[in-house]
Amino acid sequence: MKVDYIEETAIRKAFAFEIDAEAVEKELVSRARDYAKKVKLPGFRAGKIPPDVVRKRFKDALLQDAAEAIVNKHVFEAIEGRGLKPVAAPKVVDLKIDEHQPMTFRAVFEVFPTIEAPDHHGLQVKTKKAAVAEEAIDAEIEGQRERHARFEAVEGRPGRPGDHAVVDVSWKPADGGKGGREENAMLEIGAADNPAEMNTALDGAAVGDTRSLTIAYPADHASAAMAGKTFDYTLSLKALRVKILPDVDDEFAKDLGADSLADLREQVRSRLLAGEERKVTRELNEALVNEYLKRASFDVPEGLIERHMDARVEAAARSLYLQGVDPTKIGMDWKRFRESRRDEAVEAARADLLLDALAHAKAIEATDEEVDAELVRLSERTRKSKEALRAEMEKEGEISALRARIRESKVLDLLKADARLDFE
Amino acid sequence: MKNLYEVIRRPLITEKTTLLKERTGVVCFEVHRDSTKPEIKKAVEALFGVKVDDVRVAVMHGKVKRQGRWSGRRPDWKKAYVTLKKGEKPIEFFEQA
Repeated sequence: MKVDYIEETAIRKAFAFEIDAEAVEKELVSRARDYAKKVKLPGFRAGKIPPDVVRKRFKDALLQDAAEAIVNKHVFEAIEGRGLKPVAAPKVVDLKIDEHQPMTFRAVFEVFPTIEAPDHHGLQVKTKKAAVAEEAIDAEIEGQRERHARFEAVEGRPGRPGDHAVVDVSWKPADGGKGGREENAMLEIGAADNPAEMNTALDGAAVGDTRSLTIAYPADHASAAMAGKTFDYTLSLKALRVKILPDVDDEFAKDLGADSLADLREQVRSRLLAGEERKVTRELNEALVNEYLKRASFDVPEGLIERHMDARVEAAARSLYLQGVDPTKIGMDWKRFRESRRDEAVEAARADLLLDALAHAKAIEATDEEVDAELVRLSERTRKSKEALRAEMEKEGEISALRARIRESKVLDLLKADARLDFE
Repeated sequence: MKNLYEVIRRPLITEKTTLLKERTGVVCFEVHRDSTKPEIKKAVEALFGVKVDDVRVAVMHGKVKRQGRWSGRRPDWKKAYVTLKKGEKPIEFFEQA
């Protein structure tokens, strides 16, 4: 056997193999023997097929199997022999195999680049202190008021803007076709979301009234089923209700689990502040990594970029799935989506490599105590015991990912500690 | 006169014929039901480029097959044992699964 090691670039390497004809023959004979035991041929009893017949009848399959076995054996031996760490499984190219001939092929693969971590001191980035405006707290409390609103029946007067109408509504396309019906639908009279014709029809209507109306939807209407079409509607008003928002006082705060209104505002403030702090930290980390990346120049293995692209596709598909949408049925061109994430994936891969190089240079690792502390935090959030969570994560192989996350966050802390931050 | 390709139907590759070929150099074919020994000899010589020493034939009777209450019969067919002249290269059948 002859093996040549070729360094195509700093990260792209290859092995060129030439396997002796005898070794190929030996592999083919052993495969043919296996086949003879397993395959069934008319005219032959099971297990009695002569190897010659097997080799003639299953030549292509045998050659393919033998090639696979030879490649698996020699490529991994060669890689391990040189102590190389490929980013992804090697690609086999230019494979030539035939009976009584030497087999030749090349195994091409990428390795992680050797990066000299540049000086990380003095990265200059802009950031801001996380703060929450009083208006944001007001808006949050207003949202809570809306969610805790109650409805009271209106009696003795017709409907007017601001009232909520409970209606049975049926509709039919004006040009024929299948219509529909919905019972006890609640509409706010005069709401901007409603078609103007519907607001006009309900304004002044009394309980028990039936109104008919026709609505022609514009061609650019958001719903494709309705755009450019005309529908006939019949509305039967069953009840009128008025929305009553709770007063913002201590009583309201107590309903929401706070001691007083001031306490409620404080709770809302700390919740919003935590969210804002997370956002500021995320933006600061991104800015620091981007700034640090400017100080280094290195090639990124394609395999690593592909991995990041796949991760993005997976994340998008998972988020759709969690929203109850089947990602395979929305007519999305996932290949194009994957390709559109290339730039982002390149940056993420570069950041991974550089932060890893810095971690190596500074001997930063996640300690067992830090992993334990993180497990305690996660177990509180998931309401599982720490031991159960650890066992589950070990089974799924997630502990190493957790270690990597802690290590990365320690590297980011180091970048931040030694950076020059300009507060806006 | 039948076409050469009509005379030879298919080679018979079974455990028995493989052994026969290995031990005695005799090759077996399914041949046209009406073909004669001289026709078979000519066809094998022309199609495989070998010299034939001897041809023996046997008529195989079609099996009786039943499908429930209905009984039928497979057609009879002719088998030829072809002995090649001494020193001839054995015929290789190229069959791929």
